[in-house]
Amino acid sequence: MPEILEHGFMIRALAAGLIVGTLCAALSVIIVLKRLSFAGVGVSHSAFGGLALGALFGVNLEAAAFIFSAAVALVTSWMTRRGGVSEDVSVGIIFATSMAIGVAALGLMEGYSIDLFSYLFGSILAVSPRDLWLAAGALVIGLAAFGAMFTRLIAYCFDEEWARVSGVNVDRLEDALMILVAMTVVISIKLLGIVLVSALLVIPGATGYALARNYRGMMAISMGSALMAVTAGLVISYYLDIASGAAIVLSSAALFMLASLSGSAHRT
Amino acid sequence: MDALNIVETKNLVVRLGGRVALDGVTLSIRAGAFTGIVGPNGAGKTTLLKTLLGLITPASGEILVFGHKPGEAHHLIGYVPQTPRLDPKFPISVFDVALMGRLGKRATGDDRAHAARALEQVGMAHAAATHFGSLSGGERQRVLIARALAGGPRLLLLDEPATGVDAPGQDSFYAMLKDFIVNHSMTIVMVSHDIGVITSLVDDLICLNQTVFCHGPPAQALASAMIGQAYGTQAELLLHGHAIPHRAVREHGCGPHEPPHA
Repeated sequence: MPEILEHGFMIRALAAGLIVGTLCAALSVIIVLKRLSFAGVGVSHSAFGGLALGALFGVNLEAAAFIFSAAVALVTSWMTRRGGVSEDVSVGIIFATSMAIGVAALGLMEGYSIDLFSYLFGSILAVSPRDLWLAAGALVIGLAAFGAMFTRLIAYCFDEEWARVSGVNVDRLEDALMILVAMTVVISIKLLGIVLVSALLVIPGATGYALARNYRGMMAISMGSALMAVTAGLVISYYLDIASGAAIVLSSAALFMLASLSGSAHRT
Repeated sequence: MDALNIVETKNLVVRLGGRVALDGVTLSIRAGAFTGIVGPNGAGKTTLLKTLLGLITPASGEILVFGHKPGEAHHLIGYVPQTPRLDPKFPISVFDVALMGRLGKRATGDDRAHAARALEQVGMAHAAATHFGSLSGGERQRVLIARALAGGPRLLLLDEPATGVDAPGQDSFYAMLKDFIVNHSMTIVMVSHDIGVITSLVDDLICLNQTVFCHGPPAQALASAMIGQAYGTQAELLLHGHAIPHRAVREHGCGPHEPPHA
């Protein structure tokens, strides 16, 4: 057995990483096709507000982060639908505000105990057995929900008006998508960190988009590249002792660059 | 509702962004007829179609589509939007676009057969595996019609469907639409700004500019001085086809001029 797999924390990090990579890759296909990357950044940053509020009030951090970021995402969608504010403006206002709430909540705590650096940038040491079970549960729920919505999500990305004409409740579909994004962000925070999780919600999908001519192929490439990036990133993180979030995102970005070069060479 | 009419509206008023887009629109669409809707830019033609589809909620008035409220009859309607803003790089095949027409329909187990048949109907079966974005404008429009047909609609709503289709392509395109009515018992409503082409094709013509200015068989509708009012200050209508084979120029509010060399 390689030395790297002799550590329990590393096995947990790899298992959690593969789960996180699968969910992020699936969602990134929709995020790229519908150009929602800014919303992904917003949801992940608002999870910081939820975590800090959870720490301030002494409640479960993951539950607080999930409820807070999902609620913030739904409020943002509602504001955009009501009109008067464009989506980028409402995302810009609300998510920055929720990040500020997080900073203020941390300031109110005397000698807070959470490891801020690992929450912001991820750590291979951070995944507990409980985190792994939580991630496994999220994987089952996430893939079941995503699979059930997939055809409608593709129609929504390709031609939203057609989806509406076909009887799809697009508003509810968007809400469900944002809740899935919030759930994925929360289980990804330990490995990827709040600042970097949004990258894995975009880059695998962008890699698939660069290479594939069909959304099924895009999904397969997105999944494959995310799992490769997570595995490579965790190994790099272990040997070079750098934050796991940074190592995974850099690996993912490298795969995207290769795909872009290969994709443009293929098309010319 | 008259059993022969599949769409009926009465005093329909639609406001968009504080502006009145449709004002007291009363009309009916006969089952099995090819109905054309004409009018100048901004007349509310697309708004009317979107209201029939349930995409826009009217401020007041009555509207029934197959005896239902708009939006409740979506399984009976096929819609082809006006030059949809679709991403040409979107990774999707022609077949998958047609298959999207089965969205929201009761799963019958042979959705793929419906999509394949729809592509055959529009003459695009050979391109099923092709990337949608690599098609020409006219070919894309045919595939979007296949998407609308795949759901097995009884009513087809087309919004400026010939945009981007070259002249020879338009002839076969319109022949295809005629075939849908004759051989597939379909009702078609087509919005167009090209009065000349539409009058030679349709059974009924509706002239719209916020409200209905004329409604009836093309010869009767165009003979009415109301068409000039619908088009505002000056309307130059190039009328060809069999019904009215001449060129007519009308001034605002005036009756029709007889052209010197008909």
